[in-house]
Amino acid sequence: MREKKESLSVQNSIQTRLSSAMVLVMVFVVCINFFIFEQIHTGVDRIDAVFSSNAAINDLSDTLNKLEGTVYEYLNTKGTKALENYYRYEQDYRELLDGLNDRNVDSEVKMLEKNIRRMSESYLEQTNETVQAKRGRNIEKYKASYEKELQLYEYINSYIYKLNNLRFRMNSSNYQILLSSMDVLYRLALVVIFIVAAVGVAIIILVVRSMIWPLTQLSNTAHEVAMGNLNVPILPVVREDEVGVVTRGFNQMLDSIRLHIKQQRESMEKQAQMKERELLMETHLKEAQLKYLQAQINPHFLFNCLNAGAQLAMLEDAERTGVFLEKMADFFRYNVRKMEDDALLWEEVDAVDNYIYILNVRFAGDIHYEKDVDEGIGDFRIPSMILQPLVENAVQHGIHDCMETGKIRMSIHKDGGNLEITVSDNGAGMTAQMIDAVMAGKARNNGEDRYSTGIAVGNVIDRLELYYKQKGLLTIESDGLGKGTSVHITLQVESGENGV
Amino acid sequence: MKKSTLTVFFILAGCMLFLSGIWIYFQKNLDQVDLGEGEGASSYTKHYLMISGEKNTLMWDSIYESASQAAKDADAYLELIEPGHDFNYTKADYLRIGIASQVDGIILEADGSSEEQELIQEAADAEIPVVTVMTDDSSSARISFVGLNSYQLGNAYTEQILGLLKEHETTRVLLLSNSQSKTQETNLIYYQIKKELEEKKKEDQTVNISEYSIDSSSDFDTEEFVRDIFVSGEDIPDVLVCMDEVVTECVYQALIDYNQVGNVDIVGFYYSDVILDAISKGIISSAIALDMDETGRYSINALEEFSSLGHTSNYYSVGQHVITRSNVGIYRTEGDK
Repeated sequence: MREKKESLSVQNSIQTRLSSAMVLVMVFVVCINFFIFEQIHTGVDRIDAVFSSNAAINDLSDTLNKLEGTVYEYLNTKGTKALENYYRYEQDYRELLDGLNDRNVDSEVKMLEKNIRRMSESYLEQTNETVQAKRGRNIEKYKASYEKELQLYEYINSYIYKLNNLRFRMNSSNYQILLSSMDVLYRLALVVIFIVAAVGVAIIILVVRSMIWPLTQLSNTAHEVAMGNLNVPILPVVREDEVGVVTRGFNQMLDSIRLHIKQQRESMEKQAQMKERELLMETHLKEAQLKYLQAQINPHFLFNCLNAGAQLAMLEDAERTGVFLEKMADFFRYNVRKMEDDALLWEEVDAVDNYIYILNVRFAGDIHYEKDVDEGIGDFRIPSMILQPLVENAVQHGIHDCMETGKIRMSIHKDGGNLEITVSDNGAGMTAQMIDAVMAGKARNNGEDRYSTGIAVGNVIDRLELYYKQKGLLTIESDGLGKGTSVHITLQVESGENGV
Repeated sequence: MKKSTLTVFFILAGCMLFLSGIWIYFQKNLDQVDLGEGEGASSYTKHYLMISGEKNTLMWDSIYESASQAAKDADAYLELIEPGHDFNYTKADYLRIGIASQVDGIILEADGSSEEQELIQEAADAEIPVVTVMTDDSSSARISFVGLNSYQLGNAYTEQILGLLKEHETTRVLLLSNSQSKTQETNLIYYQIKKELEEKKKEDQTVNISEYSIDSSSDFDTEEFVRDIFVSGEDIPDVLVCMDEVVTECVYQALIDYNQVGNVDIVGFYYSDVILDAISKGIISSAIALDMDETGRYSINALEEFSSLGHTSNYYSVGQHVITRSNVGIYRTEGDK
């Protein structure tokens, strides 16, 4: 169905137009040739007519001679054969006479014919008289009659001779005219044939060129496309023929290719971006991991040892030491295990609790820590090692110099689809420049702090951005130096089971 | 494409134009070819035959011209035959041919021979009317004569000769005709002149008049005889009266060649260019001529009248002209016309 529609849309197909051009040229050539041959034919006919008059006169003269011969023969021999011949030739002669003019016309030739005809009639009467007289054996009469007849015969012959001469003279000039006309016609015919050939070739070249031109354009464009240049202009559809259909198809194909390539490029760019993000994330994780590895030569060995220490403390009934060591071991285990993965909110909160416990053991319970966590949100997944570095930062830079009065507060609330996490302290506070430096990632922990687990706020910010593909999730607020600092994180959580 | 279509169109138009040109050229050339079939020629109901004097002269051309016009007006074709022109046939031969050709009428210059009389009779028997012009044969069966009668012509010549006669001495006058144009009429003219001269000459004038008919049966005899007159130098006449055009021209030329201008006066016949020149130079004194236009026209009138009424006037008199040095200009103008 579609094919049929396509074929119908091809108007003026190449075949039709090429055939039409050929047929037109052929018809033109045939017409011209026909015209020339017709002229030649007319000329030849005319030449034929010119000399046929002489031939007719010669016939007349021959028949007259034969007739006179038979009359003489009959008078001489009175033979039956001669008489028969006489009647036959007389009949022939009369028939030939019918072809001669009998009217009075203002033409020398025609009047000669008329005179010959009339004289011949008189002559035939005379011969008849002669023959009759001979048959009637009227010797005197037939001899006298023969004399008269002979004289007429001479006159007729003279007139025939004159007519023939006149005709011949006329025909000679006619022949000259016709010959020169034919010569001119021959030359003109040659010129015409050359012109016609040239015109024919020109027409065919024009037609073929008009058909081939779009095809050449198509071929050139296709070649360019094949060479990889897709930025070629759209080819115009000159005519609704096969080439037009192919051109339109080519244009559509080119459009499709361009679109496809565009889509492909966009998709590749997206993939590259994703890959890049993944790589960055990995890099940051690796960086965090390395910090731990640098800080603790072998956390596994360490928390195994700590476990062994905890068990030993239990055996020796040193319960507090045992709990301490157990918390230490949990904290490090969590660090080691969770660095590569996201974690549940309660695991993060536990890690903070463990950290505070350990510090309180170290600093003899000087750190005042409060937490305010909504019920039922412990199973939300968040990136691991987010809360502990913030708390650690509050300890390290916030209340480090005022342990006795310093307070750290961590609140986690679910507010609609968001999880609002705030870690605040009432410690050293920060200037706006300091906040900007931290937010810009310039104030990196140098890792040599003995109380640090090694993960800086900058690292937390980066990971949050990579994880949520969104900036500005973490904000730091401080009213200035000595007025405490509050770090606030807003994380989107989807309402659903454990979803982030 | 539009441009190329236009180009093709113009080339085709050019070709068509070129072919049309060829066609027109060829048709024109074909039209020039006259097959002698009388296409476009006028046709007539009657056919008359005019047999001219045996030596074709301009005089006969003039007669034929006017007669032919008159014939056309009368719906007749006039055929001119000049004896001795084509086959050396004589006037009699052409008369026979005319009779055998069953023409509707014959016009001829009679010579008064009995053969001619018989043939005219034969023509009359075949109901072909014969009209004689210039010279008459009243004893033949011709239906009419167109020309001047011998009396009038004799008088006209006499008038001219009288003016050339010498005082107190004898004037020798020679009348020259050739045998072709000499008829009974010529004799009558001769006697008329002789008679008139005798009557009208002054008493002290003597006229010695003679006539000679040149035997012109063979070609060029006229010219040879005229020269003989002057070569011998003995009996050169004082006045030469020429009775036809050819003789007049021959005499004129001989007069110059033999340095006789002024010694011999000539009365000529007809007004050819040569004769008119001679008259204007004074070499020929005067010339007598018939009105050729009337001669031609009346001869056709006679035939027409006969064919419609069954009879016609026996004699049509035509006007005569006397050409002298004083009126030669008029005839020259006519000749030019």
